[in-house]
Amino acid sequence: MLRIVVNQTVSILKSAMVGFSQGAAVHSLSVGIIALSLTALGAFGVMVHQVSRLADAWGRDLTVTAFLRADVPGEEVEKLRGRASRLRGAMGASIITREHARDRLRMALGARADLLEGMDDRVIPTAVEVELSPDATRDDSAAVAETLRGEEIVEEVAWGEEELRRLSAVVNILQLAAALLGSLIALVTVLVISNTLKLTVLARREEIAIMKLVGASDLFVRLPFLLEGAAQGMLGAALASGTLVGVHQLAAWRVEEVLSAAFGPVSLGGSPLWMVGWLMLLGAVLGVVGGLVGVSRFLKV
Amino acid sequence: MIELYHVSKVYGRAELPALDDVNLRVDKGEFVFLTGPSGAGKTTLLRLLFLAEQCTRGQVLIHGKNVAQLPQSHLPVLRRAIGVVFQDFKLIETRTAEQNVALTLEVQGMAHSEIGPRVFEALRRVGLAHKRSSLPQRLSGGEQQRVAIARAIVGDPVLLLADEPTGNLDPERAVDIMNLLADINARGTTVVVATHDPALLERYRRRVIALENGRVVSAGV
Repeated sequence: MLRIVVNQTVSILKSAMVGFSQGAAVHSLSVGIIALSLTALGAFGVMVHQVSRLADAWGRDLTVTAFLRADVPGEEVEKLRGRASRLRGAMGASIITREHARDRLRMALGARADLLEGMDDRVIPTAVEVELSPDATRDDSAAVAETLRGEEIVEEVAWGEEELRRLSAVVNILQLAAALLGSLIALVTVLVISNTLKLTVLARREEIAIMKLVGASDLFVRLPFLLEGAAQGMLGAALASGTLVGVHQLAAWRVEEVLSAAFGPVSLGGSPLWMVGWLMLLGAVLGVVGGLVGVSRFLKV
Repeated sequence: MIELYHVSKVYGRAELPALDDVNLRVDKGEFVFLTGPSGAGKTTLLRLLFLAEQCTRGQVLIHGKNVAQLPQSHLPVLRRAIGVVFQDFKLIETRTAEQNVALTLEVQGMAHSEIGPRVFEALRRVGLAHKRSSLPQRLSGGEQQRVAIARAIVGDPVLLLADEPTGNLDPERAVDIMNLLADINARGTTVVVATHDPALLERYRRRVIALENGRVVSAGV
């Protein structure tokens, strides 16, 4: 039985290769269109991935700062620091004294630090700064901020809630757009592959009828077409992957430069090699689905 | 070998059936002619026998198995026991003679090392071993029909069906082909040949089943 399966597999592979070479022009066109579609999808996927990465990194750098009322006794501040450091999502908490805050401000102002000359230190409040753990969610951050707001000695709480919310919204929109674009491209790819294979099946209709006449099973007749579809999808995916990796190598440093100038140090990471595996898998799956859609109706001969 | 009981076949919404209450029997090892004018139902009857169609009513038994009730998935295995030859040869134009013949064995999952010798033997039997590498368009009509016969017999079928196998050939080539079919029958294969050529019936003098308007008008003896 195993021998029969192996022998039939060899015949099916040969048949698929013959089919692919016989319809080389149509298959090449199809592979080109698939490559273009998957390049667009891959580029969008890389963009969404990078924005998500940046958003995550930014989220992890967040701290929640509680500015205290004036003249709170030191032991009260210390107690608050202790309570804050034990909150869910907090990794630790530290007290930012007026002097410490002033130094930070001076560093942030840099060459314009002279603006602080003559400023009364009392206008700078003492603060407790809560450092969030890397796995803290946005809800955890919000809960920390809310708890601190409820403290009697806390005047005001600041954290990058609004910025984070905006960034999350952008990421969500991009992810939704990626899902929609992905579905559209998947549909286009399936249609392209199925139509190419329909042409192939029509051209080989007589051959298929003869194969069935001499006792070929439906699977024996269908599999070469599914393999042709998978090969088309994977070749298209390979071209798309090569394009994406190449463009990333050429342009990533320039994009990093532009983003870093606008938002501070930004790293886009290495080549999107993780995308290659996904695109190849997607190409193969779409190819097989295209094959199924394309040939099912035409094989009833 | 073949038994038909009250078999009728109606295509779509046609008013007249292509086959109407056909009863007949062909024994193992027989050589039978199926004859009648065009539209008599010869091809439809053969199509029922090689499982390209299902009858509308009745029972078709091949080797004691009612093929009218056979699930679709069982058809390929049964088809491998039946060789079929057509008037228009039905060879794959892009495959050589030996590749056309090998197809029958490839679909069965036979090892390629076994296929080669068997294909050569089948082509030798039909006198075309020397043209095994030729594409169909490089062969004459008679040679193409011989390749089709080699393809039909390479799997050692128990039944060989031929639908007007000499219809596209000149009389001399027609006799060659008929001699070949008679030889195959002499080796034990049941052969059913559909033809409307009275010269062949006269020359070979085998049992003749005559059809007219889808009905058996004579089943011979």
